[in-house]
Amino acid sequence: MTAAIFDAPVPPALDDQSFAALRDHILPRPDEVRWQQVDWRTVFWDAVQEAQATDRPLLLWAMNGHPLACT
Amino acid sequence: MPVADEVGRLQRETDPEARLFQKIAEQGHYAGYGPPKHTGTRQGTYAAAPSGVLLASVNTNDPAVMAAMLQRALVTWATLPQAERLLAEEPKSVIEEARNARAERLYPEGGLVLRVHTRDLPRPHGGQSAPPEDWRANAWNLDFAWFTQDEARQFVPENPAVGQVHVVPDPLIRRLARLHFVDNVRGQTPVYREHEVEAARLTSTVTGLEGGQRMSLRLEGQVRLCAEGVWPVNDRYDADNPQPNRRGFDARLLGYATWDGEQQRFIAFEMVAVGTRWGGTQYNRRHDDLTPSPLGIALTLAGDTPAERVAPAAFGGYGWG
Repeated sequence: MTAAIFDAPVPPALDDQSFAALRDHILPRPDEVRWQQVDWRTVFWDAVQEAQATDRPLLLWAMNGHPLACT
Repeated sequence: MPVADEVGRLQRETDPEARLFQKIAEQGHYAGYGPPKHTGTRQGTYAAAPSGVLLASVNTNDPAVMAAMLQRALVTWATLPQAERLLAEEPKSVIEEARNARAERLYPEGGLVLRVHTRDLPRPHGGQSAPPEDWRANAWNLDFAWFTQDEARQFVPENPAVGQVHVVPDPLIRRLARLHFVDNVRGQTPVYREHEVEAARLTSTVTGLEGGQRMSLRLEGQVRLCAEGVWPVNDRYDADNPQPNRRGFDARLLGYATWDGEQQRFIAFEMVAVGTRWGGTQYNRRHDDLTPSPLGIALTLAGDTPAERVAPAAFGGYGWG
């Protein structure tokens, strides 16, 4: 089914029959979102306070666009 | 202590949170970078003591390089005297100015929050968007789309009957199209302006009613976005000589959703946009892939964990204040 959809002319037809295969192709696979298993704080200063209180180093991932969303 | 945050505010503002970041960044991999050949960004991954002493940093998507950076950071941390690890003064528990600058303060409680994933679709005859060893061949991106509770209600008819077709109000589908149906598969790209929306329509058809409260819906629609502009599509390599370009996305939409009338919210929602994209902009890495090709966008219901409450990348276009 999936192969048949992607062999079709560009772009693939979107209908009730092809919907699930197209959705599943677009969504990330489990191995592509392992980074989401990290307990990321989402605000730098929250992490600074927590690191200061527990004497731990910071690991800051800072990107143009929030790293947990669109970068 | 792992934390992920948006770099623009941190590298630009003057509050204590931003100043601490700037202290760290100016010891790191992009220290001193600036225009014209570099954007001045300080994005990357930093290991640092709470005091602001840098342990190590890098900007990479190579796991081995990242692991090596973390190892260097741990070695440095282990030898850093206690007095140099911590801020001399306790950080204020709340920095109102910084909090108020964050779009997350306007998270639409009780509304509709969608994950928006984008990815290239396979090309005809087994073609790929990039060589298999190129990260761009498997690139995808994620954003969040927000609708207030009042806006979410506008996706469903007030007095539903099976078979009824409801037109989702133009402003909602146009906003979704302009701000979220963008080609950010390989990196950020500007949103579309209002006049660049050539078509945007979405209908919800009632396919089932259960107990008078749960309403099943079939979503169907179309978008067509076209823009012209002058962009250095090869980023810093043609930053001095940007050329006129065109970009766009022409797609059909299909989805399924369930509205719970008692809770006044969607308890299921998934929609797919499939169509043809073309062109490129400064940061979306399409300089060698400008011709029309298939693009897919999947919208699925988000949870409300802290990571899922991050604001839409183009929140400024929402007009929510």
